[in-house]
Amino acid sequence: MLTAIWLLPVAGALAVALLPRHLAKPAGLGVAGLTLLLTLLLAVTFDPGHRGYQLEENLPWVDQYKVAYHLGVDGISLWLLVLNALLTVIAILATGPRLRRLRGFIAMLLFLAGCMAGIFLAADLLLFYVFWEVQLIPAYFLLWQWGEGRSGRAALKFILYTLVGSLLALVGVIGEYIYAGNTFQLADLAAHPPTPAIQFGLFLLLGLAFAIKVPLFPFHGWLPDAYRAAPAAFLVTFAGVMGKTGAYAMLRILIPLLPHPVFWWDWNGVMPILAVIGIAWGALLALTQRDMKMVIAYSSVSHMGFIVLGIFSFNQPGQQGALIQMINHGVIVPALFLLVAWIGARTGSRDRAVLKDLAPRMPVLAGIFLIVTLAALGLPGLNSFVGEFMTLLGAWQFAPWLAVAGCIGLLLAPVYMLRLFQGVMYAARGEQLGAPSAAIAEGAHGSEVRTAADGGVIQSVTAVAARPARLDLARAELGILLPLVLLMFVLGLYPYLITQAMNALAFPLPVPWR
Amino acid sequence: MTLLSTVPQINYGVGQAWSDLSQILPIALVAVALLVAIVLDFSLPQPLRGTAAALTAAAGLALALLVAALRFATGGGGSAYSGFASGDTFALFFEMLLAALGLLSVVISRVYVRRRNLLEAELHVLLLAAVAGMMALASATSLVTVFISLETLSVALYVACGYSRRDTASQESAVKYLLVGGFASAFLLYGMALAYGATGTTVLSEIGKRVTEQDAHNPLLILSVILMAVGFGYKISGAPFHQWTPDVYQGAPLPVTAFMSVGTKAAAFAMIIRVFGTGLAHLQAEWALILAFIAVASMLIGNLAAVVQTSFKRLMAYSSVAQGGYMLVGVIAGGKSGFGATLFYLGAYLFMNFGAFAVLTVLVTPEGEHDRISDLDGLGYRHPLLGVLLTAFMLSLAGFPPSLGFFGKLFLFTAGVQSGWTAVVVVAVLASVISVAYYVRVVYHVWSPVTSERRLWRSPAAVGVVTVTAVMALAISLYPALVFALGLTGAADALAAGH
Repeated sequence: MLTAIWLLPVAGALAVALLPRHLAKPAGLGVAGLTLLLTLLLAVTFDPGHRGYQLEENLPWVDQYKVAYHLGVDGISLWLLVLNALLTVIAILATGPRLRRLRGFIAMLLFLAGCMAGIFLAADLLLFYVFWEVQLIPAYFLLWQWGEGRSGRAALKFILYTLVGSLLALVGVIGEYIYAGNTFQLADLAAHPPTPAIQFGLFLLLGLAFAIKVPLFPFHGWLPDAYRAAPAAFLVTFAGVMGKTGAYAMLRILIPLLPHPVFWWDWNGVMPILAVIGIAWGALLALTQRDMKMVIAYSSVSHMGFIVLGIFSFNQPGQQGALIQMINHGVIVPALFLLVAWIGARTGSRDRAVLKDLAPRMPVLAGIFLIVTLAALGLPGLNSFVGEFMTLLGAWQFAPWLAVAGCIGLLLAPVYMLRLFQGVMYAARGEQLGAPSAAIAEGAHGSEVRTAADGGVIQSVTAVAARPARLDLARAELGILLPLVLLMFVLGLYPYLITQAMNALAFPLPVPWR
Repeated sequence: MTLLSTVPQINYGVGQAWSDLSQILPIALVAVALLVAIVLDFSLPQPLRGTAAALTAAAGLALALLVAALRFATGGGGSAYSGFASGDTFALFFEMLLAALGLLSVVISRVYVRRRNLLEAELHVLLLAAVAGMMALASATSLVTVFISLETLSVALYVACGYSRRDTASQESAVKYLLVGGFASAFLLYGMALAYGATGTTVLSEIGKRVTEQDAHNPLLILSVILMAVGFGYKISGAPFHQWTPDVYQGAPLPVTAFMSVGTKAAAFAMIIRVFGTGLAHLQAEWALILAFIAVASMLIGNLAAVVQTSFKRLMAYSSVAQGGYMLVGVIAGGKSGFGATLFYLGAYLFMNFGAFAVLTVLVTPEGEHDRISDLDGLGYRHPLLGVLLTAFMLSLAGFPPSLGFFGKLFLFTAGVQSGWTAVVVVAVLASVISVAYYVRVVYHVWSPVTSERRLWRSPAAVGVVTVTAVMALAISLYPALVFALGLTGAADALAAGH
């Protein structure tokens, strides 16, 4: 069953690539939907009281080095698998039928989904590494072939950044094998951690790869270009799941396998500091962006900081909060990117400085946007609040000043999110625009301005003014967002759904200092 | 006296002759095919010659592959000809690899010469001679047979490089290869002479018994190790002895380049493992250090130089310099797992490197080869199968999991770290990051818009060869334990001969 969860999308990708074009989207949806059903079935049959991996599959693979094809699921990976499958369905739904090379796009989305499912499923370090690396291939092609603007450069930058990390991680993986008991089984490796000095080196090698993927400050250099270039449908899984693979790897590999990375300083002390800097830095950069997509991209850096902070607070509230936050971020960020992309497609501009007073023209979209905005800034009752509260609680128990510093992010989030929402959707008294087309026309006029922030021209759209298009959300688009919005409420009101799974871990998460 | 003791006994009967011959049976089969092809070439009418030579070569190589595989499956043979050659699993591993390479080359050569309107039969004869020399090199266990085999394969390749007679680049390639190759042979021969002088025997297992760790202070042997390392460096195109590689690879006809990029490397590594690993096992600390320098230089220089190339063949030449550096990591690490990893990587290299070259045959026109990287523009849209497969070969060469190249590197690097060469492994990993830049650049061109108006030459045979290599690569990478086990068995046999 676990094999099917990763193999089905991969095989589906091959099938979609060979099918005729008009069947690509239905076939892709079918495969992704089936995978989603499988993961839901997995969630239903999951035993939240069981310790150790569940539904294991274990076959020898490379006997000489005791590499096994070993899959398993536990409380950390379960909901991430569901999230991955759900977002893949949404990404395919959000793909426009007139996209060029549609078959390739959907095939690559499915391929990526299969690889990421493999990352969450692997219970063998080398198998994990294999999936970890392969996910780069579809991501690279998706960014390069279907990206906007200078996508080739963005894709190359992305792949070189991540490869530096992941090839060094290969040395780390080999080092784990040699110094932690000649095995690649994660559970065995966790039971035999090497000496602190060896851990120090291995932590650097492995942690760098994961930090780049998250991305953790200061390794987020690839993110702005990549997110700017990525098409919205791809961003659903790219931003929604791929960053989580890095955070998941920290929770699954760094913490349990290398609990004491101490030599002349302690890496475990460095990570939360970087996380807190990332929270503040991402939020500050989000404040300065004019492109709405980039506001969300940088807010994502800030939110990922919370996740890392929770993971490295080494206590249950922090790590549970981090897991909740991974799911939350995976629910909120795709919705935001899709909304922004749709606003951009309707008005021809994503420049937050020139768009205004859109709410009267697109009331449903504005309503959804408001809910998602409130969820993103952590309003109690919606999902992000629980996660952020728990990570900060965990951080406080670990070191109070970290929690205090992390609150900067909480304070800035309403500023950039509400500024974005208010500025784009409403206008000050007296600034309202009479006719809908006038607002668009003004938007079109203003969008010719070059923004200093990204150095590029935000698309010019004089044509839109003449088009009396339906501006509000179409029913299909509403349908795409609805499951995400529902999840924001469900997770906000009943986070126990996710936290209870955290009791069923494959192997314990050690607490190094207390 | 010691020399005499290694000379074959006088009472050399039929039984002994047969048992000796059976140890080198695959080589003998290739040699027979070579002779038959030559005879057919001057006895048949002109139009039939090419086909006859191709069929003879294919039959001989297929038989050799079969015999080698059967002998490997039954545990392999042992020493023959009084220790001058061996039919152990180490030799058999290379014989299988080289026979497979020969088979693939026969098809590509035929496709190529017919497209370029060149004579066919002679190319098959030359490649058969080279395969025989390479196989003999892998089973050579005496400095004498090592050198004779090396010259056999080299002379055949010198001629093969200049096969395209009207093409000045091909002629230049042949002359350069001849001059540099002769130079390298001289170094090697000098080193071998010194080793003989220091130990009084040319049989490697005997040398292994007579050389001890104390000989690290023997200037004769140290000089011998240095000179031989230089000679080996030339043959595996390791930096700083790699200067000939790009020119020769670029000028030589495509099938010859594809053949020798894999074959020469495999044979040369077999030679290094035999001579250093078996004969001079006790001087490992010394030769490993020299080879480590060559490895680091190869990986850095090869990968950096490849980044700026515009010709695909030159890019692959520098890539092969770097790949040789990776393979050296296994030799430096030594022992069963190190040598076994190198053997596995050579097997992987056969499929991924040959496959990449074979893709290029669709660009060949009667006038020339069109090997600029930009000639590949849009290949993915003009011929999706080849586009996907070339992408896979490039990713495999770059070491992306779960490709063959990844497992090859994994085994090499694990062996390297295990034996304490972590610094070299870290360099290798960083060099791999550089390599991604140019391998991905090829992929970039493959999936870029079409720029060339030239029609692709959709030869089914060439596409078939590419597909076969890709399928083999995929099959091995799905379950790499099998081929790795073969490599480890071979490595263990080579090591056992030295103790």
